[in-house]
Amino acid sequence: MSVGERVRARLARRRGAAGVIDITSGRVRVLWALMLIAALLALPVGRAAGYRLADALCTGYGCAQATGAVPQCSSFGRDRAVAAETMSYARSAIDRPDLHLRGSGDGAVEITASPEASTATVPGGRSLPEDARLTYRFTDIDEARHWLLDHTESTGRAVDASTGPASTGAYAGYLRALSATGLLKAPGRTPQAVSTPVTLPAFEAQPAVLSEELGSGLRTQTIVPDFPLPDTPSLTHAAHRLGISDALVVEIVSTAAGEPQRLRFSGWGTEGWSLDALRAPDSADIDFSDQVDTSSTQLVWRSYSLDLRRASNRTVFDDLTGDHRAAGGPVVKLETGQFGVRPGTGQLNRNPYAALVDRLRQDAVFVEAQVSVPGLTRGEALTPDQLRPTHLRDVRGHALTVNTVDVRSADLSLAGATLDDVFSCETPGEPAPDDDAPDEEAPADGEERSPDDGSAIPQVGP
Amino acid sequence: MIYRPAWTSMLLGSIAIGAAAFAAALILGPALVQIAGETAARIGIIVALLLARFAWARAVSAWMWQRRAAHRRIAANVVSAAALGWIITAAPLLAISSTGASSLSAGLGIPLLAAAVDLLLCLSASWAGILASRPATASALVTEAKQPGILGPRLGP
Repeated sequence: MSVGERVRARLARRRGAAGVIDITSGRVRVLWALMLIAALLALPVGRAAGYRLADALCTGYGCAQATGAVPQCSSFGRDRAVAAETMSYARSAIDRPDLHLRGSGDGAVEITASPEASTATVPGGRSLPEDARLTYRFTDIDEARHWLLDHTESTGRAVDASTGPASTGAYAGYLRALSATGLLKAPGRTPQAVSTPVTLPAFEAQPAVLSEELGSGLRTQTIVPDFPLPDTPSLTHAAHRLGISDALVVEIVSTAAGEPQRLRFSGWGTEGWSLDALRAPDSADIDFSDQVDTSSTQLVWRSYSLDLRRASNRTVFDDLTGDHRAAGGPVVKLETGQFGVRPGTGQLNRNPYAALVDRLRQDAVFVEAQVSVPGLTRGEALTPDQLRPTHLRDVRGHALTVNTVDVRSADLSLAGATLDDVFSCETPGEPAPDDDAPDEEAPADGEERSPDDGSAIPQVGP
Repeated sequence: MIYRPAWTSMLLGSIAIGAAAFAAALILGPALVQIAGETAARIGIIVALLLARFAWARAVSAWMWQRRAAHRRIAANVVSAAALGWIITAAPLLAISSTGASSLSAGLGIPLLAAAVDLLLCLSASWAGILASRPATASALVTEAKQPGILGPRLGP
């Protein structure tokens, strides 16, 4: 007997016939049957159980995607109601740039998605351009988060991996099967609004986004003029008076019939500005700063909302937009040109922007949010892309996550109104904020925030 | 060519492993993705799935080899039963996810690739099973020489 045969025989003696499993035994068959039954029972409830497990783990340990802990807020009064309705305090940058979750102060959560990401059809069957965005609204953050996870490619890819390394589509099929059998309650399957970028040939300096509510027909036009507008210095001056510089967002909400309902001016906050200075009788003569405050790692986002259903406000608005309505569409253009002084004569001319500032400082709801931009260090200037307002970035797919530190508001129609905290928020798993306590979450000077900060701090999309 | 006890056992195991892997991925997938990231989650799930399939194919191969089945016969049983098991568990979901004829034809390449991976896995598992059971079989052969009939009927070439 050779050496090799001797070794093999010794190994065989050691292992014996018991080294091979009897695959036909009843015990093995029972094991497979139990596994199969357990898997079949898990199919109808597996998705919900998986999301619950993810929620629990994200709340307990934090997640790469900041959709875990979202504050539950309450707000009161006209200014707070407007602020809650219009200020987003939470947003999420997830694995694809065309899908975002955003929470508002009134508790509503909305998700913007590209037609491709949402895999939805618009009621009426109208075709949408590639750069359009669909908005889905949810009353419950859990429903929104689960919708988001259903449409996040990562979740689908991970589940698809269970059917083989090269397999894809199993999770989509599973969701369809659940929907077909009525086991998947899917609110928000139909988009509530459609947003489309609008660029009018003659108004290149005023790129806009037009958002249309599919149910009520309400339209929101978001104009993001190049700032400062070189041919309209009075708009630049008005923005500086309002404590805004470097970026300006003008939003106009109209009914389906084109009746303006609300006007909002927003932008990055300048240094050395105060609400008292704006409300002072001689505010027009004050030389306001045009520099965005970058003295700390936190920036200020300021917003003014004006009710255009009031006659005095509507008059100013009509003067501001003139007859600049695009033919065949609801797009509004802001007046441009030299105002205040008649060119060549030195005589005073009408100035719709000065009139607008007067209405804003007397009747607007003012909201001021302190935000931090992850990665931004003290004194560092923001890049043009960072300064571009979120509204436009959302639609064009360039997301920038900024974290809210504080949101305050004031109803300027009330004499002596002061800035008060907008929201009374409780973040699940977070201790209640203490105004007097030092901000332990704030990084030291020059220190960068980690990307995971979003899971601990409410986020904002100004 | 098909040896029914081994083939049905391989098929049953494949179906059970496929269904259990999908259910486990449903429950653990979202948490794994959010905590460890998509790549790590995918790798983890795929490795667990392939290990389970490999282990069962290896066990079936070893059992058949112990019964003195030829290589070709082992491979034919293991591969065909594993492929049918994969089709039974995954094909319905993949078919539901493809609504139009165009998407169905566009997606044909992916199931073919999955089948190729499965084929390689089963072949390697059958060889691993054969190698693993060789010592046991050799030992049994020695015993058989002394006590004929212990191995049962020969399965043939």
